[in-house]
Amino acid sequence: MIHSRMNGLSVGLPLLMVVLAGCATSAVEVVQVIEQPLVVEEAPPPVAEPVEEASFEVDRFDVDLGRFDGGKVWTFDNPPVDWFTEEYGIDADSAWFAKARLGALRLSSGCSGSFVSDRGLILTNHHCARESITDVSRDGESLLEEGFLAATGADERKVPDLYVEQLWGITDVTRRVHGASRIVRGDTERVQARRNKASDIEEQLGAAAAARDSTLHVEVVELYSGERYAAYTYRRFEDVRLVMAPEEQIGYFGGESDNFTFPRYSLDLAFLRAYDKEGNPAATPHHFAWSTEGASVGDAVFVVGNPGSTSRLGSVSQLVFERDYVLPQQVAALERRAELLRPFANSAESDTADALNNMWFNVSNTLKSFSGRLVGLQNDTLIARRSAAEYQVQDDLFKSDSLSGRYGSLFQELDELQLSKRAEAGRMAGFTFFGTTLGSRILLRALYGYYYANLQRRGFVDQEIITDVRKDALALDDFPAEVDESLIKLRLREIQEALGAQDPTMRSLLGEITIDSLAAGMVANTSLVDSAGFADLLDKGFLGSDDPTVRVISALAPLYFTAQQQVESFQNREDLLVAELAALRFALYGTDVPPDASSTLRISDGRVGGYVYNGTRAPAFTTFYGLYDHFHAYRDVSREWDLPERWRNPPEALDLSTPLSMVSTNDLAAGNSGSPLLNQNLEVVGLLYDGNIESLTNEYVFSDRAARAISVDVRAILESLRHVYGADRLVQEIISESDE
Amino acid sequence: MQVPEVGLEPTHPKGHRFLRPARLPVPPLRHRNCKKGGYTFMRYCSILCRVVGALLFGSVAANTFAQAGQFDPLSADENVEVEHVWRFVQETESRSSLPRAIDDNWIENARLGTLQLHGCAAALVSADGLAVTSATCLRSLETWIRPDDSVFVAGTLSDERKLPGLTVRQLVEIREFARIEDASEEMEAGVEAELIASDDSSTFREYVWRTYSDVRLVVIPPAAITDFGSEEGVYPRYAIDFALFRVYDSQAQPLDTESYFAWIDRSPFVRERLFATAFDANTPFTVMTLSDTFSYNGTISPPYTTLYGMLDQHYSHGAIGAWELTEDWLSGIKENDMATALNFPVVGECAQTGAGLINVDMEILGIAFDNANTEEGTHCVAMSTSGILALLRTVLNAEGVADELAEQALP
Repeated sequence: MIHSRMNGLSVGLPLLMVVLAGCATSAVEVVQVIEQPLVVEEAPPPVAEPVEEASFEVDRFDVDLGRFDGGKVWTFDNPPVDWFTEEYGIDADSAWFAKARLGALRLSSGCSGSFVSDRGLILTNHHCARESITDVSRDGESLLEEGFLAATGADERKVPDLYVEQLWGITDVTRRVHGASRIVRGDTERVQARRNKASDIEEQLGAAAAARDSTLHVEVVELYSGERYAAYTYRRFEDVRLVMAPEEQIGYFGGESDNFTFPRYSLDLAFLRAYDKEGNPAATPHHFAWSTEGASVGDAVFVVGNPGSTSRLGSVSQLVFERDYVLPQQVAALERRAELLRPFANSAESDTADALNNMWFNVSNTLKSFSGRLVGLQNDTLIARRSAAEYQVQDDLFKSDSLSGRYGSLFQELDELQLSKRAEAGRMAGFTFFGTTLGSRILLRALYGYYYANLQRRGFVDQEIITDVRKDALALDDFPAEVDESLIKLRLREIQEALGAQDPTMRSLLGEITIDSLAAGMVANTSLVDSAGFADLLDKGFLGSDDPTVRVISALAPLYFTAQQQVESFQNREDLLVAELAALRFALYGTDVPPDASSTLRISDGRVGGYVYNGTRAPAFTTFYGLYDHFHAYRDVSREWDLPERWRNPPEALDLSTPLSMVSTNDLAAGNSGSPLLNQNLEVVGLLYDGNIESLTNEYVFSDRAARAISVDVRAILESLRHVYGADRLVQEIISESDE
Repeated sequence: MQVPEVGLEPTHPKGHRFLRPARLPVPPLRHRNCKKGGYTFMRYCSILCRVVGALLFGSVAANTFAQAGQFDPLSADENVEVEHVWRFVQETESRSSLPRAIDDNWIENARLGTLQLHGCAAALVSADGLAVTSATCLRSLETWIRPDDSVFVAGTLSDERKLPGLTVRQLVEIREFARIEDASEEMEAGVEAELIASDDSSTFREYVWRTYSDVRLVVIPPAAITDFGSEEGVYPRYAIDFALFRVYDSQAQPLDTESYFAWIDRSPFVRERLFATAFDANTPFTVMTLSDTFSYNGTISPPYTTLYGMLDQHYSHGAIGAWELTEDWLSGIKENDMATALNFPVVGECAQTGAGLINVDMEILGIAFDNANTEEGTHCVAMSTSGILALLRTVLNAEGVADELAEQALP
């Protein structure tokens, strides 16, 4: 899954990161609690000797740089007209790009989608609509499990809080934004001045747009780390209803095991519909026609969607740090949690099952993705390729006096920053994923409680922030006490190991008792086991209470916030340097290279095609025959390949040789889920839903050797709607304008 | 998997099987005069003596062998291993890890139900001499003349075609004695013996083989089917790799045998314990376990593949090249319960191409046909017997043979 699987993790992360970033200033007073002087010593690398400079078996000079190493997520600001003509022989004029842009959608859930009829019908992934499906389920219904099909328009169910956005127009505002920072001195100040200006423009243009049409709003988008700014006008559809969703067992066929893999057989789709303010299906003249013919091997195909960011444009030293510290620490922390959760994940009581399963889902999904990246980074070829690219940039840089004067020391500064990060990495290791939802609910509530109390004490904090924090804190779901206790023990051990046995904080916290008895005592006597007890304690004053978590969190939170503060300061510095690097690249190569993905609309080109895998060749397509092969073959092993009742004995009319999934060489990133896969006539031939296991390393360098985007084939969608779901109304609507 | 031509040393995908630790403590015995039963593979001898000698006994001994050209190398390779394995199974403590049903009688039956044909193995599957092996084992015969794209099905006994140049043999007896004079002097026709001696020539062991040179083809699917996908060393796999032949006695009657394996018509169970039967240099008799699903391609490997999967491959790859099924096969496969198991992986290397995979009840579930290199080591890939039976009854129109397999004798 390539959208919010990652978000599932990071939803928790930015949540608290944002919250706690605000705490950074107050942490100064909090720091006094720490008994240990800050000793800066080089942290031992968690897995291997850190590499001073990227070491390679592969000589960097032997590496052929790919024209598209930086990726192919083109903006609509600078569409690659010449490239498309050169490579695909198509006449992609401005009308072509406008059509591609206007048919595509961004969902508020973080996914992509597209209009596939003139009456607001939206195609997206089942995994993008999971929450929506749950939200519209009524008492006694379990639509996620059973699937949903609205028999008539009146049966379509409104999804609360879901909206979709269409990119209505783009205006370059670089000049206006940069103008504001012309006379500002200092890098940080200049960045701030630009952001302030951007936000002013956003407000101005937004107000003007809304005055014309209340469904319009404006976002100013930063491209090339601030070298370019554009005002994106979006048209928002606030009334979105669920039309059709298959059963989870087929929508998520193969489960977590098959996630990020191909060959694949899931029907990962859902249909929604946008309605206008009068409650009628929205008139959507800009939409994509359905191709009943589908695509063939070698065909040019285009993905239009909203990919998130990648790590393709940083420095090699950043990659090496990620390889030696960040990823090994995260992977190790995730592995420990996965092991801890495995026995609980499927056996929990029903009222905590969802929370546990979601966490298990997030942990295993993130683990798979991060492990894949780590393996990629440990491959010398990848680092060599990036090193070669970096040398190329340096080479080009030193050909220009003005550029070398301005950016000459940039790479060295980035290298040095990584050394500083290394010095802190060991101490921080114990707090990996602390303050996220990937851990004990009791500890997380205590952390919120601690922070909430500090916010209130400070007096000058906006009441709205305090209210938001409280709301977030109380929204946490519950875990069974035994799970929480195991997670607390694990966390305390991790902190103890990272800080060392002699660390005064842990020593005074533990006194004469063990971690196990400390955790057991906490869980047995705390009121933080559920939201009700927590709310009560927040009102009475958490820090003043005699809850056993107060003592523990008062010792740990300052350590965490200090570490966090350090991370923040490194991060700020790194952001600045990376922005300079982007500016340098822009100065050298201009818009020939697309800016990094930024959750805004992009178009990526590629071709349908299989690849070499597992000692043989993976085909470009799979079929329903493969679905049944998997259903039968795994039946004694796992329920992940089980099928819902109506699929077990398919009707004779269902042609099992119909293409089900397909792969293509398009570039993608998290956020692309639900994107339409279009042919050169801008007809839908597929519905993007994942990348294969080989695509994970595209995080660092784009490659189309074996990395593939995976889509549901439109022919399988039609075949299923017709013969399995009897969704004639939908079929008629979809194919009314197609070539059939 | 490559199968050597007759008379050449059996090749091995890994090429270093003799260096495995399990092999090192093996042979207290050394071959002496092997030329008892009239084996004439001298070419085989000179190559194999050096190879086996160098690896097993060190270079000095290897020189000795190289000079002592009279030793029959065929036994050098195989008998040492047979020795090792039978002794292994006969040791009480080793056997204690095996099911109780595996006694001397069981082992003798398994041995007699197993055939050796040049670099391959085969398994007897009816009381009337019907045997199954990998199609590759027959196609690789120097004397094989049938076109690759043809299918052969003998509707009746009289339709069965003699395979010229193919001799198979069965290990009928193992004798031990202290004086070389006790070795068999004259062997009856169709019997040959191989003699090996301990290092100090204090003990001798004689292997008595019965040979059959009237071997007739019963069923072989076309190469496009037995080699579907043209894949090597790969699992998941979707090939229908098997051939059936019949052994005839010296009176040109189907061999009447009490030792054979009962054909079983079900998919294998995950983690089911199977035994590979073969007279390979590496492992004549191996305990193998059906694979638990292992890591593969970012997910877990299927415990077996099915006929559905074979059709998926055909259509997925666009019905071209090595994945193309002709119309008769397409429609024939569709007549079956397509959930029927096709190929399955077993932990470890195959004993030998064509080796039968049998369970403790002497039922045969699969025929080994390739080694796959997986993320978790080598796995032996086998053709499932239930898949063969289904295809015999449908697309191959070989009801008679299918009935014989079900009845375990000619109808």
